[in-house]
Amino acid sequence: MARYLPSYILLLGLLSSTAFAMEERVTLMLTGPACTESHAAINHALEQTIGVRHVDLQAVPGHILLDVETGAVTADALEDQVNGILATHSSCRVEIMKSCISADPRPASTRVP
Amino acid sequence: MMRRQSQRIMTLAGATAIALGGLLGQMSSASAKTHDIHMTAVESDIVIDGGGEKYAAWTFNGTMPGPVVRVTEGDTINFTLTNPATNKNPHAMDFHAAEIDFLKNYKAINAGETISYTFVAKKPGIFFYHCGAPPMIQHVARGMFGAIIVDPKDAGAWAKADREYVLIQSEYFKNPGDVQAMFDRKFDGVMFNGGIFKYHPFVTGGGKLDAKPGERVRIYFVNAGPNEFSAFHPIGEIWDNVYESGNPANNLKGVQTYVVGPGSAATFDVVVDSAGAYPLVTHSLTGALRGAIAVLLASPDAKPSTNLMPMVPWELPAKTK
Repeated sequence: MARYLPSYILLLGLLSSTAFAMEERVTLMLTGPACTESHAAINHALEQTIGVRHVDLQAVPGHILLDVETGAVTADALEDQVNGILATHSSCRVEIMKSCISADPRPASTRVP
Repeated sequence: MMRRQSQRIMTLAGATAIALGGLLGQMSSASAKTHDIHMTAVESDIVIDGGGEKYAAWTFNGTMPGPVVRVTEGDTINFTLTNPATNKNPHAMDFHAAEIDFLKNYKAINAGETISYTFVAKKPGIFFYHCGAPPMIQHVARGMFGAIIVDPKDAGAWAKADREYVLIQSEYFKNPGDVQAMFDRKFDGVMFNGGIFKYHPFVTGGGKLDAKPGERVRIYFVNAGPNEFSAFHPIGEIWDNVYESGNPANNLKGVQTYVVGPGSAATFDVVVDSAGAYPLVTHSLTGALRGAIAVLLASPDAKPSTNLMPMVPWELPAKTK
């Protein structure tokens, strides 16, 4: 088994980096009067995050749409990361978007097993 | 004497009215247009969800739904359907806006054949069109449907819309060859304009429908089925007007949810009061939560929308990394 391990890891690496890996959208809701001022900082930080493929702060006002590689990063981790960036802006916080229309399309990373 | 004079005036007035009516009728038919509509039955794969999943569809002109046909009440449509020799199945076309012989005009044609017929769009509204080749349940489920808008001859018959969209609901069956699942109503999803959550920005690959606060948004809604009823509802709003079959004469006001059966249609007007998101759903939740949600996003910055069916076909944007 040991002699197969390097090629096994290589294969896993290839699979996870392929453009065809599964993707899901995480939606974070921004709350507070000073959120717009933080858009650039949030965008920059999220674009550097491993597993985040696309960041959109424009499509839905007051929300961050994130296309992430399934399994590479969780919605909770992204929420924590953005709130960390916003720690110096007490008038803006972020939380995972939940509503009646997100019941089923809720990303796998936020589902209770 | 007085009586005879009165009779003469009545006769003169009647003759004038008949002459005027005839003249108006001539003017009306002179202003009516003739449209040559040609569609091709195309059996090809199309993108069905935001993950890029492909579906072996049967379509009119290569898209699901087929192209929106738009004419004015009284117009004549010369329609031709071509079923290319490269196809494997017979196809047909049934226009709900037409009032013509079914046997002669809606018959299925084999691959390599063409059929033509003519009809006058006599009644205004939003109407379904679909393939009627057997098994019709499969031809509709696989994507052979669309909408024809017949605008009222009198544009003042209803309020002018600031923005218009066409939404067509249909069921999605994972296995397009499983006709029994279609008869058994074992659908795997419900779509608007041929996509699962196509206009749901919180879902991978999803978009939205744009509007500005205060605009009158008009939704021409068709339920293609093949089986399920739609309970069309705007979350966070109330339909200002619902026009059964899209006819301005059939005007309901202040409607929360309106049922549109398979093969039927209605036109919905909503004036969105304030900025925000207003999901348009079938309130039959097994359908909504499996794909039939279209988010109408009202924003002062909304760009004008000229496309009645945005994202048809569904072309997924390239990712930044």
